[in-house]
Amino acid sequence: MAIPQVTHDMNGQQVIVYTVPQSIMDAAQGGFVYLHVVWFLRRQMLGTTGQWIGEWAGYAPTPSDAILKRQGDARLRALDRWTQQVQRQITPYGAAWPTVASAWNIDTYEACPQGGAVCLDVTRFGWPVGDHVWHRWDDVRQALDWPDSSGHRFIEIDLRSLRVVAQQHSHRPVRDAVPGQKVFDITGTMFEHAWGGIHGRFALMENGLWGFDPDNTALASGRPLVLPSERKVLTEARIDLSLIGVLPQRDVIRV
Amino acid sequence: MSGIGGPDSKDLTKWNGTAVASPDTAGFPKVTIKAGTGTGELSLSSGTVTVGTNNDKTGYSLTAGSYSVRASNSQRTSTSLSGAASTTWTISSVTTTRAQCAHNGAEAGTDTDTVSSRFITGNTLTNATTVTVSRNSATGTVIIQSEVLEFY
Repeated sequence: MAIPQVTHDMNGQQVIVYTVPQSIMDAAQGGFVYLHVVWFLRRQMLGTTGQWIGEWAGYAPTPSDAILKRQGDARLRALDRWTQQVQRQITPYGAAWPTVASAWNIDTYEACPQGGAVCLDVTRFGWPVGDHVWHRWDDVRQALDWPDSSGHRFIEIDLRSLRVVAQQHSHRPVRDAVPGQKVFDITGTMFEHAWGGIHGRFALMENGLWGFDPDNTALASGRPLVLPSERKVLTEARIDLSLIGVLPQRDVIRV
Repeated sequence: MSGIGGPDSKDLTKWNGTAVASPDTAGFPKVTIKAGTGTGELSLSSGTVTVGTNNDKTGYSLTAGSYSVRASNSQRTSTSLSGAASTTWTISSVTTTRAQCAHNGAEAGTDTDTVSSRFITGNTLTNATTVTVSRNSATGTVIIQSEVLEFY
């Protein structure tokens, strides 16, 4: 789980951030260091290759001076061995070291055979724990990758007006950060086909069902804000009840 | 010093006041392991050694610098502003010191001005997880496409 922290933006508006603050890194006790690691399957399993297994962040024993004094490739090799020793005692069910946050796909973990995973130190990215969930490991090239296929599409809705505030595409999760607005992952839904053209609001239709009311604005170029093909998808899309479930009933708009 | 079978050889028949058990194999003393889970003990079950679950799934581990990554990470976003002067939305967390936010297009409705830069007065990476854009007094709806790039 990522660690949400409330702060304010430059306009004084309250927002939530999920980056790892320096204070958490500095909270490591003597002899320990902040570490964020992620595990991936090395080979094809469960129908996919390089699939994410889990992530852990916490305080691990600091590498010995003998390791830290080394240089170049020798240093990397020694650090690799240190990481191997440290991660050996971290599982979804507990860790030998103080845990800050962790996220796991238990099914993938259990299906992974002994020696079937690779563990990467991703501390340098500074991303929240769980952000690598759609990434892939290329075991041949020893590369951590976020290919196009790993991208997800989102929409963000203002919970008062039910209008779509923004549409996002990212290779990492987008978590709620602006109070009064909620982010939805629309990957794999009908809405994904209209991504980029989802302008409008969610509304309770005359038939009593939830639907989408596309914006009717025309742009200066003459092109409609919502293209006919997008409008068809949006108006015919079956609204996921889990999507609508969080919307406040008092702000329902009847059209 | 004497050889085996010599005057100094010993043939133990008792140990600590109790007869020594007959060995299963000649020459190998019969020993009963002290069962338990403490120091110097072995966990036994029904005459077999109970092997603990091996949770080490990892074949190898790599630190930063031992593996490669893409040089950048990008996020594409878009919004439409109808009347409001500015709006803020959410992105995946970035490290602001190595991230850049840029708009790559804008178009206004009911306004004949086609120069997008005149519509947008601000496009800012507000903090690690939000972007804020603001618009000028262009009438109607303004669509703004924004991209957040993070480099390594």
